Amino acid sequence: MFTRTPGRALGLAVEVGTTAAVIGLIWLLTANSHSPYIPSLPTILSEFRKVWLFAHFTSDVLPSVERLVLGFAIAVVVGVPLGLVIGMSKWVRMLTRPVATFMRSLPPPLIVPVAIALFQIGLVMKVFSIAFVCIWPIALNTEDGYAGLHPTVLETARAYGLGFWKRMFKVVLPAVSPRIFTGLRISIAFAVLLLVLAEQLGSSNGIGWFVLYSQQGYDVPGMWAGILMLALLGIVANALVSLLERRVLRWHFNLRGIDV
Amino acid sequence: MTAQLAAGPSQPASVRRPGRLSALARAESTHGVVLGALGIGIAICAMELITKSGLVESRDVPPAFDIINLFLSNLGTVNFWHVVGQTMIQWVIGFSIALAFAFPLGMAIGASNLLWRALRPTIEFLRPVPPVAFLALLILLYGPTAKSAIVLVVFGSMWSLLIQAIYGMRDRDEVMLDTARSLRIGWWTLLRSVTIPSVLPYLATGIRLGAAYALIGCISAEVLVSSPGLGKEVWLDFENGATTLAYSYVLASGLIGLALHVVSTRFEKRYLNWHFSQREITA
Repeated sequence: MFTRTPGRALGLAVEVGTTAAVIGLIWLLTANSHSPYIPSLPTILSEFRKVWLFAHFTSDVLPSVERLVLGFAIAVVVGVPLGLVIGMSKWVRMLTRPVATFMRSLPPPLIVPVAIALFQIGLVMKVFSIAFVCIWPIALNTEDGYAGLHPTVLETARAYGLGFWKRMFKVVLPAVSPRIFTGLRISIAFAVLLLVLAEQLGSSNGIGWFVLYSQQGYDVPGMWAGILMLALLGIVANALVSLLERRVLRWHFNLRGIDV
Repeated sequence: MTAQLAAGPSQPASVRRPGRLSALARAESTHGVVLGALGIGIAICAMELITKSGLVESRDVPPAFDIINLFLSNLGTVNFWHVVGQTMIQWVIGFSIALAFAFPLGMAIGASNLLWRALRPTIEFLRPVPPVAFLALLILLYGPTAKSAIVLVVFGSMWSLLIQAIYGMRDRDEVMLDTARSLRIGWWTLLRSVTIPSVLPYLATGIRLGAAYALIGCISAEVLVSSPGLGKEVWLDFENGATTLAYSYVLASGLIGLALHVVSTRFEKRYLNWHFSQREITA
């Protein structure tokens, strides 16, 4: 049998219909659940509204967002230039490769106890955890992208007499940007992971803290409201990076669904 | 790039000839090893200097040589291997479960246009949900057991496997599929000569990514839920002020992560480098 692509309207109906069915299924499953730890979907949603609109919004959501943005921004600001510097020379690349690969392979959750030992509990500890883990995927992807540039590109730029900075900003950075975004997409997931762990291991506010605090008080709906918020944070953070990528790389016609 | 060229398709062992090119590649990889070792040496000395100069307290960051010494002497103890074993068992069980259900499921979804269209919004919506969000629930459900870690391993690694399986199925060559249909070859031959060759590289990528996320899930549960293993050990050692010991376990975890990465990347490159999906993407 030949598979045919369904028509536009039908396709949309299938997408929306199935998604609604999945939500309905979750609804039914949670409504009939006998586990004291899994409340029904309406309970979770009404608790979600009670907690996050807006009783705990400024006290917990905003601090989490602040930590996430700070940590991720530092990782980008450090990671991209680091990748460019390493990528520039074959020798530097060889020199740094094992150390950088080791750093990238360190299981991220272990950075949190190390950061607590170094900086005690506070903002610095959380931002450091996020930044330290996110730097490596960004730097290594930037480095690989730079190293993979065709020599002609750089030589042409040089032949036209472009200065160093011009070459960097007008030629190298755009050419490497698809790889930078690959790094960013991997890193944003790590950033959320580290935020959640850091807030649960050492914090007195934030969404992660709220989840653990509710759990310890056996406030199960509250815990679920927090879990839902964490899920939402992950989805939104990821969507923002993807949106930025599509914006910035619109010219990059070659952009196909390479996903990591 | 150079390292990949040296290890890449340019010189499979069977056709390697003693020529200028392979000599060049060999010199290049020797340089890589020497410089890489030098880099490691510099990093260790830098860490030693930071501590010795008093920039950070040795209570917080012990001297690098102390950590390495303790790590090496730990290699001879039963307890060390016991802790490593706990982590690895959780990793193996969880990853096997994910591999057994997520990859075939992804293949089934990817095989049908309709099914993929229908489930795509759900999959793309749920994928960025951080597995660690559910740690608190795991504390309630399973407590500090291996079960918690295994659940997080499955949850952490299943997305990579599922998505790669879908991509692999959807990446099958249309012309080949049509040819197979017009030749009326059976499903077994279709599977063997079209589907599997197309999906295999994606399986390798899924394994490489999934293995790393599985380890992350495992150690997250160990740190936060106190499931047995390296993460719990590191956390407890820090709490007890045994900083050097804690760092030696961090070092061990890093080496395990590194070994997983190297093995899975080699596997992906060596056996599947003929496939065009072998673009150089660092994950």
